[in-house]
Amino acid sequence: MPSVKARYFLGFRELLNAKEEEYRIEDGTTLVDLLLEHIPKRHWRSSEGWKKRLFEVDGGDIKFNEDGTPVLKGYYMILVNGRSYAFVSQGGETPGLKYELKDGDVIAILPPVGGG
Amino acid sequence: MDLSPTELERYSRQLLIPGWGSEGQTKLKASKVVVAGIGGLGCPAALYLAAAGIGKIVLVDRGKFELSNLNRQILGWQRDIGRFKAEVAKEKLEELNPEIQVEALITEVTKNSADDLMGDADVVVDGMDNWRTRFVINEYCVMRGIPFVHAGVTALYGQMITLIPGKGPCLRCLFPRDPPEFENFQVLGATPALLAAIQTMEVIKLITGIGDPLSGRMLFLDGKEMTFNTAEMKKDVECPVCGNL
Repeated sequence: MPSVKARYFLGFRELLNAKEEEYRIEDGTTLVDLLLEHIPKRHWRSSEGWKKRLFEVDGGDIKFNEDGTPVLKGYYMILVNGRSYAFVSQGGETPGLKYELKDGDVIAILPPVGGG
Repeated sequence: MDLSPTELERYSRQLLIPGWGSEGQTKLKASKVVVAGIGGLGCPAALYLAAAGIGKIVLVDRGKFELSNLNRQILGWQRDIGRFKAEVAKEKLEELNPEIQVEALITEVTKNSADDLMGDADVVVDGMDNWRTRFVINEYCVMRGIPFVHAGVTALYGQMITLIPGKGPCLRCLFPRDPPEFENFQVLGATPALLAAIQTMEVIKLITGIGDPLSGRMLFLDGKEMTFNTAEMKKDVECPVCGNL
């Protein structure tokens, strides 16, 4: 069974009380599965906070795009093996949140910091 | 534009750097760099830019030094509390290096003022503490093809990237929506100082042509764990600000 690592920074780290953790996943699991199901399931106490922080919410429900993916807040950086998820290619395409996770992938979730 | 004997002596240790020489130093002397925001990032960035011999430095900030600024805004000293940051910074930078010109602009960067403040800049340094103004600067720099060296900090964390219009992402490619603003953000002075030093290196590399800029890669500093990581960031072809470049 493939496994991936999720790394959290700043507010996400505080919210989940975790820096890095491993998820064993089934073949075909996508990035959106990890963000929308696996992480909230493990951190069920913080799952509402997680969803509200990461995704656009309307009346308590996560908003979805036409392609079935949830609408992310447009300012968090989600990296797949050190590259922005939006530009990671797979099978000649850039699947974005539908990226199929591979064994050993490291997913990092970072909020931008704006002080100066 | 020649270098005087005192300039040759002042900059002698950096003139030795391979690829620099008097040609590189002359490029710095002929350049104009705008430091937008004279805070935790802008103070140390302006100091090192002045020391390196940037010919004209423009300091933009409408604020005055307050006691709570002094843990990080190192051009502001106890005696400067209540004085305009840009004016104080100008005096100290000119004292540090009388060979350069420093202009203090006590104002705010807005869409209307951007052209007057940054119109003929070679590079703009991000010393802002808010996203709203950063995006104004980003739009202007994209329109005019001016590199914008972005940094942001909180506590012991920071991020930075050199945004070169047409060559890499702009700030809007990276953040399609404005991140939330925080007033009175937590910060250790050494965090912006560290990033400001890297911003200064980036400015100098861009002007002299030495090395490879941090374009298309974002640097993340985690000072608690003391790790530096970079992540690839690309231009968004559908970006409303730079997608047409």
